[in-house]
Amino acid sequence: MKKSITTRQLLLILAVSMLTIKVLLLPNVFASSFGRDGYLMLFAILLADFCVLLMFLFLMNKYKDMTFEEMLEYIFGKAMSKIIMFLLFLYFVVQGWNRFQTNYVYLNDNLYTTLSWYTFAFPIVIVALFCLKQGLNAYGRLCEFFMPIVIIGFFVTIVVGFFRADYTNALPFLENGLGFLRQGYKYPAWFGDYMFLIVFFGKVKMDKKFNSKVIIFAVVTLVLITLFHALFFFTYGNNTICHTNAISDIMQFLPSVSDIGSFDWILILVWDIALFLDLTLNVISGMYCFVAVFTKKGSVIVAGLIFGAIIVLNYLVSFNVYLSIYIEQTFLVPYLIVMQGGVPLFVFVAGLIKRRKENEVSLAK
Amino acid sequence: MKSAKKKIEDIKKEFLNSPDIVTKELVVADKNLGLIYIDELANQEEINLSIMRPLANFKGGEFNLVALQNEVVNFCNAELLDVEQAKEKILRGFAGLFCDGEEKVLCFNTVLYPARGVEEPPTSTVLSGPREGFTETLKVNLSLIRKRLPSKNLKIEEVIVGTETKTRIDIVYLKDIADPRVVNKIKEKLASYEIDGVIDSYYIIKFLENRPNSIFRQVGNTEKPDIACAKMLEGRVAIIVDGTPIVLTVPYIMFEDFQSSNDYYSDAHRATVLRLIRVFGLFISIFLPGMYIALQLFHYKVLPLKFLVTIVNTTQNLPLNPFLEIMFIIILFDILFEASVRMPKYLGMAISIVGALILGDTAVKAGLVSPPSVMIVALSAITVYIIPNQSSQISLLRIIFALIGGTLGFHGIILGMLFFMAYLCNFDSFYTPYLAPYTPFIKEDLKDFVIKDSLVYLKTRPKSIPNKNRIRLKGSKKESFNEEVNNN
Repeated sequence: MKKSITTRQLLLILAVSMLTIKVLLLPNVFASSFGRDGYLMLFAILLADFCVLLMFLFLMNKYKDMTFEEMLEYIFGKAMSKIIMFLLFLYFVVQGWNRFQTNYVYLNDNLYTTLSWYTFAFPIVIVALFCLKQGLNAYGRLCEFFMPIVIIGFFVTIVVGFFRADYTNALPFLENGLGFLRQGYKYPAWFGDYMFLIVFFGKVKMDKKFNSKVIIFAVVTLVLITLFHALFFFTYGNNTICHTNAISDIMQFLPSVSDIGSFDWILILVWDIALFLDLTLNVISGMYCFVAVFTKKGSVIVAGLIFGAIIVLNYLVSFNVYLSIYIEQTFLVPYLIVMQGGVPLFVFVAGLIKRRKENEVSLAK
Repeated sequence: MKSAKKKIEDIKKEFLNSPDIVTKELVVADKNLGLIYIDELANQEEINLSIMRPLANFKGGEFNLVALQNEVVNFCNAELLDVEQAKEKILRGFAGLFCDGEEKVLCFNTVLYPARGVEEPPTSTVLSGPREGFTETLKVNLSLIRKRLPSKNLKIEEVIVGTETKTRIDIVYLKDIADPRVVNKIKEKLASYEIDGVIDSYYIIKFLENRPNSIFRQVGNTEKPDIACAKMLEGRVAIIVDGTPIVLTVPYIMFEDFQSSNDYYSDAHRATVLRLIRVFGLFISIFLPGMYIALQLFHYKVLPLKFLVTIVNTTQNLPLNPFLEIMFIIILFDILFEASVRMPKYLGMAISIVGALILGDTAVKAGLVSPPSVMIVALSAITVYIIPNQSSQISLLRIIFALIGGTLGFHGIILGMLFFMAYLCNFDSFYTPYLAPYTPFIKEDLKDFVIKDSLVYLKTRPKSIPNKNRIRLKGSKKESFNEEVNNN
């Protein structure tokens, strides 16, 4: 099998998935719902999500050189594998929709006075389709090219936030106990960071310490995202709910910056790249699932269909971003949770049992 | 069998009785001989001294072309060839000697082309380092390379391309360093086309490229033998085309144009700073006009207040909107550039004065364009030439991004950048990724990327360029330092 991407590229794609969407509107949403416990809630969800990474890593190692689809077929048989892949396809369409909407809101709020939907949508679809046409290897390289800049930008915001934060906003710590954890299930649209890994089963040139590299990278990113959320809340306190774009707002009004001009737009542009990569990642994943179910030929037409579905979904909610967020936080919650947690767990357990049985058979022989 | 006279008459007829075909008939030892050559290409003096005089002084003995080659004429570059081969040689400046009763032709290398001397190439002037440049003569170019690489591993393979021009193309490489796959691929690509003529190496470039319609360069070129040799030492293969001073090198990576030969003949820290400036210059040249338009049309709130006030003051009475204004100046600059390149040299200064001072200044004073726009385009136009080899693609990209910036703003520029980068990420030529060593990331090659390490640390050849022998420098700085300390 052709190994499409390197371990380094996989790590940077992981950064795309983990970082991008969580530092925009989410701090505001969590501050509204959980107050100063928002970052703790985030940490708890990220930890739960981290278990999915561990499960996928286990499967990747146990079923080396098998794609996810082949592995599913091996464990469950053809029919079941197709059902799972189809459900995953729908999941990635929903996630793609979420990223598409987020990208629009982000640009409309931060860069443009008014941004027409059409001016936004058509160029992005054309460029995304072109990127997808270049293949997985090119996507890996694209992330490798841009993500270091995005990560540097993220570090800068943390450093700036660190010196601007008012740490008295951190107290009182856990004022209402741990009760808030019960409400954490409502926000799956912002998570499921490791689901994209299904595309890269059997396609990564694994380095010597592949597992530890991936785990360390994920843990560090997880900690940094939590730190970012915490610092953002400490900076604005209860006013956090007024700030809808954390990644640039954490830097705003900084005296040393405002003397020269508004520099945060550089970061806004950098994050636009990250959002595009995140959107493309979800479409790639959707494309992979669709191809596994319906056709053996992966093509840009499939990606075009996914974008078509995303645009139709936007029409259905009349381009109302907040309505789409509402739908994702209410009607779609059970489905997203099943896809993000249930499916990986199911596949993991089944894979484990299958391996154990195989071992028993080979020992008996 | 035809007589010598008949044979040279036939050839003359085949060469359309051109007036510059010289034929001479001689009788030596009772045998009729015929000599034929092209006047403009052959060295007349050489023919008289080394062919005609020994023949005239022939005293007797065995006489045939073999004996003539070995004993009579004092000519080291003489060879016996078939008539068809001889015709090819005569067209290249050789003199052919026919003899009655002989099927073969004795060909003498009497070639004397008009040739330019070795000079410093105008496109690659340097502050330090060698100033020799390639010329239009392949032999001279090979000698310049041989002089620098007197190695038994230097291999030269000859290919003839062009049904009419029969241009000689030499594939030159170091056998124990270059990857044979690259050499074979070059030969394969050259053999896969049949063209009537190769006038310049640019014709070959298109044969070698994977995507001939791309705006991005896929083949390196140089006019300097020291650069060609340095590249060969890194594992690249040089392709020398007869009749042009531009030597091609493959594989090519995008970043190699950011490296200047000066970087290797000066301090490494200075070279690093210059490379950073080149990268920054590239960014300015491509994106600055587009970003300026986008700022004015879509994102004015991003501008610092003082700068915004300056811009508003200078642009409020302009008849053109920011997009048209910048495009107008870009086109004006390009017209001036084209005119100044094609103008006779003595008019160049006048054009500069008319262009820069009169047109630019008057356009601002007349209220057609604003001073910041002129400055932005001028800055971008200058930085286009910070990487001279990529100037054509940079100026094209500059216009594309100005268009995108004017229609879609910053988001469009970002998308445009992603579009081109995605394209380049999938751009491998001759087993080499185009954006290496940045992506795919090759740690070992970063020593000579934007940051340039001192030569003593560049111990291996670039991993991104396929090569057979990675080690380039043995011994360590540490050892020599210890030696020095012990001696003291």
